[in-house]
Amino acid sequence: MKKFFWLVFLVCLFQIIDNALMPFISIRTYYPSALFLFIICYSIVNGTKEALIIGVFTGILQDVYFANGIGINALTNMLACVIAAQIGQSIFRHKSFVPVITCFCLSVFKGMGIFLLLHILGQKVYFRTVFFDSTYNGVLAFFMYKFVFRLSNIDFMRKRWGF
Amino acid sequence: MRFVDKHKLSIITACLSLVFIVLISYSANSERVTFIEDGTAVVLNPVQGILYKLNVNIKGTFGFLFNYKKVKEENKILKENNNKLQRFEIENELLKKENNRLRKMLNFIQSSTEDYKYVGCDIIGISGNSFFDGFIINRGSNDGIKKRMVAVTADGLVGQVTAVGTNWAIVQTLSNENIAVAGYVERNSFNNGIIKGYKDDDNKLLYRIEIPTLESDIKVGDVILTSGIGRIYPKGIKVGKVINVIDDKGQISKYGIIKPYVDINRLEEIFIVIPKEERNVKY
Repeated sequence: MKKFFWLVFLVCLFQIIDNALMPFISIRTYYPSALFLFIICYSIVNGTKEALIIGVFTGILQDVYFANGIGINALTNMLACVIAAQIGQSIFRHKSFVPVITCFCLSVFKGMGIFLLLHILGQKVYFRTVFFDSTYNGVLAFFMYKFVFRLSNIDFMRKRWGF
Repeated sequence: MRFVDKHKLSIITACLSLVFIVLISYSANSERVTFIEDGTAVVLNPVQGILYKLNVNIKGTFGFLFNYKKVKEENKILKENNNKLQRFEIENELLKKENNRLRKMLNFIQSSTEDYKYVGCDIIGISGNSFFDGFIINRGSNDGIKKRMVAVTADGLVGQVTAVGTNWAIVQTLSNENIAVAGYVERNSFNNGIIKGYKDDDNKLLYRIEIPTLESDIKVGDVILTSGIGRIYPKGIKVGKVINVIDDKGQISKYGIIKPYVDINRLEEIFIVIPKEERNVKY
């Protein structure tokens, strides 16, 4: 239960940081997503079951403020987290290199997914946003992975959920 | 059964993907946000609003310290403008009285600007990641705000409301390509242009007015105003100044690249334009 509350708190905190803080560190209006980095890093460390839950939950939360159809972030986050968890199963988790590259690649994956879905819905967005946001995410992924790796090794965070 | 057990996660992922695709197509064009979205936003918005305000203040203070010289010059210009405006105000008062007298004499209908009321809103966050340049504001359907209403500041046009909750809403700025308004060139009252968002190679937020003939009279330095077609917003809201004109001979049309009067990155509060009589408005 303690783990659940901590996760909900961190997810809400990162969502608020994304909406209220990140735009202030934007470079030419491109800014990273702390919440997306958190869930990808969390999925790499904690496996597919938790990746699926956290991906769906955070996606719906992001969709609240996306306002172009609920489900776009939920779908892309869920798929990105599941892929991250699969990658996480076959790497040395204490090394940061592969997780950082994974964060970058999955940011591109999510960006392309959103671009494609919005294109189908008739909404136009600039494709270059995907690349620049992902690069910014990739840079910050190193720090986020270190944080998530330490967090996941705290005793109460190591308990597994069953479903 | 063994197959289901072995591929439980893959099956759940596939089913959820399907559910989300249905949800996306169902909710894409809905007029109001769902109660889940509304409830979540109502809980998160107060904290978000405080953080956002705090950051605006920090950014403003640093901006002032680093650009002291520029601020001083700006202050001088503003003082000059203020004197000019005070003179205009007196002239305006006289003209207003004269106008009212003449309208009464001609039994004329009230001017279009009086058909709208303006609701002031604070910006409490950014919406749409980097994909859409949008804001979260602290007013919603409780204050009469509806989807597609127009957002302005004293400097000019900002954008349109794209989602509405009970006490919050999302405004997307005109700088994203999905929003368009009709505009005209103030110098010659030419009113056939469509204004849309445009980003240059440096990702600067600009607008683009598209005029469908090559002969149209549009020059660098022209002021662009809203034409008020459709009566969603008043006629004559300032949009921006033309900084470049491009001839598209293939499409037989002309583009004017517009620098907006509103500095979208420095907005703190905006006004939503609400028509007093909605029966003539096509939302």
